[in-house]
Amino acid sequence: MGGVSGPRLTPPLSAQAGRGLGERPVIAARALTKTFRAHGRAIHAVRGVDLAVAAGEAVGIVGESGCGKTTTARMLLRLEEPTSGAITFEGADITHLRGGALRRFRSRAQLVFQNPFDALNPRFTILRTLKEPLRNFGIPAHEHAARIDEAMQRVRLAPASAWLNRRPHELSGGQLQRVVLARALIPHPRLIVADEPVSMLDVSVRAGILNLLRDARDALGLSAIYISHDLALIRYVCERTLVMYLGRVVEEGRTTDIIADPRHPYTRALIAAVPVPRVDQDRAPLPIRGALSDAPPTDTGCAFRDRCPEAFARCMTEAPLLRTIGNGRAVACHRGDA
Amino acid sequence: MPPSIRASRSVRGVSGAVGRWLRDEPFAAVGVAIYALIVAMAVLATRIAPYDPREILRTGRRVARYLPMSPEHWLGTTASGRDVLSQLIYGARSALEVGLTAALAVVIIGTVLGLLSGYLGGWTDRVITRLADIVLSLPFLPTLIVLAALTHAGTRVVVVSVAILLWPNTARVIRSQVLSLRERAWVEAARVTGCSTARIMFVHVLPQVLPLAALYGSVAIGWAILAEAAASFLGFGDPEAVSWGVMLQDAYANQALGRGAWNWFAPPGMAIVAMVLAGFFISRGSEKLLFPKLADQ
Amino acid sequence: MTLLAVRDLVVTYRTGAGPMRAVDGAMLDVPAGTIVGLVGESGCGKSTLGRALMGVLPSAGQIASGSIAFEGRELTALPERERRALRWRRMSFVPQTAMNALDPVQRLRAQMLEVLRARGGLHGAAARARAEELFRMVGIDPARLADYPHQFSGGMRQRASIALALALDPVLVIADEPVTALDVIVQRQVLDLLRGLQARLGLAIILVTHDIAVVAYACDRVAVMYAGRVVESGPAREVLERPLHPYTMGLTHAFPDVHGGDEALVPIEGAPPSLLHPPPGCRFAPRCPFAVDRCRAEAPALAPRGVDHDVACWRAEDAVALRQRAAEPATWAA
Repeated sequence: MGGVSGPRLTPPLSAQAGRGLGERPVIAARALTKTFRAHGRAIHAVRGVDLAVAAGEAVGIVGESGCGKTTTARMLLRLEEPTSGAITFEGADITHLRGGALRRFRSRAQLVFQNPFDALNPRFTILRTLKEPLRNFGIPAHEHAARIDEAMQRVRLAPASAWLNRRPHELSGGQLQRVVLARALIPHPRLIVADEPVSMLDVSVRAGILNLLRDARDALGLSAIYISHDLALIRYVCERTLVMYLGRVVEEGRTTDIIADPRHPYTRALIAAVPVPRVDQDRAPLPIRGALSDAPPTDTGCAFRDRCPEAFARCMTEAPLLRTIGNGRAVACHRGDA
Repeated sequence: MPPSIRASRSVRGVSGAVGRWLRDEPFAAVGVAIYALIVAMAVLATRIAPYDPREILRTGRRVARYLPMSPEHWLGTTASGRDVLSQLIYGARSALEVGLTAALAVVIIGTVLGLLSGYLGGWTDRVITRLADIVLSLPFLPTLIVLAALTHAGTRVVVVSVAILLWPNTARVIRSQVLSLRERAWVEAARVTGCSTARIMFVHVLPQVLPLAALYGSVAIGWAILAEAAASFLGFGDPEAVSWGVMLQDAYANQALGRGAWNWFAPPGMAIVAMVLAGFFISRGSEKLLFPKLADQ
Repeated sequence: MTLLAVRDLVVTYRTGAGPMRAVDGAMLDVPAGTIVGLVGESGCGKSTLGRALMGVLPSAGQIASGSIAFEGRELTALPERERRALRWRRMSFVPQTAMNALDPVQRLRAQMLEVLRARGGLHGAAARARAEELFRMVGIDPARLADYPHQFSGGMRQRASIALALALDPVLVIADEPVTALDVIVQRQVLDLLRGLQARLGLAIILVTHDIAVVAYACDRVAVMYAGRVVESGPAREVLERPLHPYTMGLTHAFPDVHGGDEALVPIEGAPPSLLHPPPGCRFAPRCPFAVDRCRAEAPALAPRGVDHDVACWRAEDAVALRQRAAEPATWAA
């Protein structure tokens, strides 16, 4: 079993298509907002997120826990109802789909789960698990065997017959995650959303799963959205990245550009903090103050102002808007604006 | 826990788990043994009962009433000259009939309502929980008597009443179990792979809660038999039936206690107590089997 | 000066399927005042080793053989009472989840004072002053001693749990995955804190982790564990830049580097062996692209190769050549 993909020096051109080239995005969200209510308090998990993913493009959403990245992804997949905002998939509004139409959307947009040890029904054999989407999405029975073979081949669990009669507890974490990926690929989706797809896996098998995801996307021309707190992982699989902080997108652009030249102070801190597997590295103190929970849920001013080493008077009173700065990049910061 | 242990534990299978459970939990083993004995009595009644339970026996020309225990009549005879042992054995049939149908009804109603309530949430949940609260506040016996009096006497009323009165216990535990299962990623995965809500509930979630439902059913068996006995004793039962409750009622009406005819009323009383206890023993002993994580911690 | 020396340590767990050797002949040296990374994947025995050193194994686990020498004393021979006297005063423990160290229903001040009083014999004003000093030392405002743990963020809880571990001035702290549950920024801040404490207090720290990058950032030395054994150890720079064991070589190519090039990651195929029935010979042999017959038959012992660099591999002499081949994805493709 390989799991090896060759070096890819240039991201697909479609990376540029998400913004403005006129091609219709596979999925797009406008002003997506989610407010949870708990104990009489409103928690603004996501505050007006715009995003678009082009055909064949992989977009990363990066940020710390509580930044709203998972809620955003769940809304895009219609697993969570948006409080407001609109989502379109292949040009059609899917914000309020129900019944059969929602099911057709689900067959086109699939999810790879974070915890493979919990993502498969423990009582179902692998075969039964893989048959669920085939049955529910109305794929004719005579195609099932071929579809299952194809998907298992794709995730390099071959021959399929060696795995199909097993149950989840007989598989290792890496093998389970391959089955989870196979289940996602079986309905031939156009979009895959992966929420921290390797964080629960042993370090030695993570690379294998990431390579499978990359290979599957390249081979099938899938669009993908990756959710992670780890920019190194995002860089490995995504051409474009959105950085989220407290429910808002604070920076957006090509992943390599963002890492080489971060424009938002939060992105700078995030990149400086990413652990690097090399002994020689920058150990300077992070350009950030305090901790996430110290930040006030402010409604006036920039949400990052209290932790920002560069905040000035304007940041206290006026929330910066996400504005494009050319080259497919956007940043929500008053610095550099003046 | 290292993965290797986890795997080997689950490989051993259900029958092994049940075997170990019976060995480790003597209470549960006793409960299962009592049920087994009663099932055997009911199934083999025609073969092992020495007489027809309704036959009025005679010695010579006289009705053989109030005979004490003897080799011919191990448990003596009743006031109308019927063999107590035969009645006791045949009584197991009606006990099982009432117990099993009532338990089945309790399990089905309780599980379905618990599933709906736990998985759907919202107003469905509020209506069902409120209904359960109301039913749980009804006193068991008086409600049973009212129901039996309002409708016609008979075992069917007993079964229906028990089902109506006992489903909330099952529904409550199923609901809380479903509430935690609903958060599992594989339930969400079922949604993503296009399952309808009904399919998620009945194909994915239901098999996970069935063992728990069966456990509550085993308790309901005991309650149903107790209810049937109480109803019969109070005269709301089917007087033609051969059941432990009717035996007690018959004994009471004929002042068996005053006559010191222990051989008549003690056996059915003990049989009822044993069967009710068996249900509780099994439920007490099943916690480890159903909640292994709880026991591990 | 070696503060802690572990030799041939075997820790077994009783399981339903027989005894399992979670740690099977581990060797480890911790010099005073250094941070030693104990790195490996889940089930490799790194956490069990950490707990065995602290003397806080779960009830199913026990030290079957081997030795733990700490400040010249043999810990495995020590009665439990003396062992307990060492805990907290000379060596202390920081668990992965700070909530395991903190009592959720007690204010932090009460928890700190309890430890200072019961374990350190410190009372009244002296204890209160020490509690405040500890909080300042880990970078928390001492006023927040009045808070309950749930009022703290994850990072602050981990800081509080470190403060608690430092209460009685230990010389060794064993931290079990202290940053795994934290976000990157907080993770970095906690690692900076640990490095600062090491420098300021001359503390030795055993940092149990699965993350090579954490080792690269924070550790002076590293011991790599695989399937219950230490397979390679030495200075962090030496081990990470010139790995001698194929497993270590594999790990260094398995992590994405945010500033790296475009080369593909190289997975190590397969999974670690069962510790109930470990393979004969080298435990990595079934996954090792360089395994020869000897590797499958005979287990290599941890032996010095080069200055201050130990490895357990039959092919250590070829390490330079193997290292080059290990960088090729094709080498690892089965």
